[in-house]
Amino acid sequence: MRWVLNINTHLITANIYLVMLFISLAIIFATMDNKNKRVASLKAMMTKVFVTRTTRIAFIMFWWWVGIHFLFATIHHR
Amino acid sequence: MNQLKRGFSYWTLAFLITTLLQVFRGSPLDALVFSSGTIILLISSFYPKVHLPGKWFDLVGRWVGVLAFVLLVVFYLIPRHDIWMAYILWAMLPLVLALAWVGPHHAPRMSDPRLHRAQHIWIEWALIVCFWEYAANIIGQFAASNESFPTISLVMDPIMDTHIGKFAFIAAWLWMGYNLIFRLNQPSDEVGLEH
Repeated sequence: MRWVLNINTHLITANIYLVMLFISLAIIFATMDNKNKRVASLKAMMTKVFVTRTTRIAFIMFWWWVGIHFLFATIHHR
Repeated sequence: MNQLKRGFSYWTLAFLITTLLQVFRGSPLDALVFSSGTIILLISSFYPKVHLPGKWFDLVGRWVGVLAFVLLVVFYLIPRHDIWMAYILWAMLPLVLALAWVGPHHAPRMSDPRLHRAQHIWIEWALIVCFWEYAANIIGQFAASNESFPTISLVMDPIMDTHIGKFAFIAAWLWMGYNLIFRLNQPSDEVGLEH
């Protein structure tokens, strides 16, 4: 049995990533435009947090690594 | 907030742990990236702040925006895993790090309790995802199998091998990078929290 993203792998393990994606999207949409008055939107929160140089560099470095990992390096996985 | 003590950041620790994981994983490229990141973060923690004046930063931002569109086309045209992909990405690294280094600096302000709640939600969720990803990687190493306990990159590989998937990834990735450097990096008063 193949799972939804069409890779022959462990069904439950792989689909948990989809669940994680849906939970992340649910948090984003639930807080978007501050519809949820108890929780701030992701943008508002990030704008408050993402201000120091060290935090900025950490995010940028990780962002760049995601790029090189997916566009160049994944073929060398494990 | 993200400081263990004055000058030392949790991010340095996070990068150090990830470096060790990459060493365990046996991936020299990733170990190099994260060990370099650890050193850069350590230097950043103690080095005095340097800023590019706001109007210059905005001007650079406009040109980088144009460059991002060029890169979108270039990255789309170059096949995945091609060595030119690596050359361009490595060439980008000093530029983005320099921009992150000289960007405006504001002390973290978290006065609104809703921001604290949002921060907790995202930190806890990010930790859960990280633990899952690290566990998948480590268990996968012991099981000597890519498929039994796939990591996110293995799961995304089939999508990335399609034209639309690759294009969507590159567009989203460049958009996020631009936002990280130029859009989120503004004085926090610019994002209002309407009641």
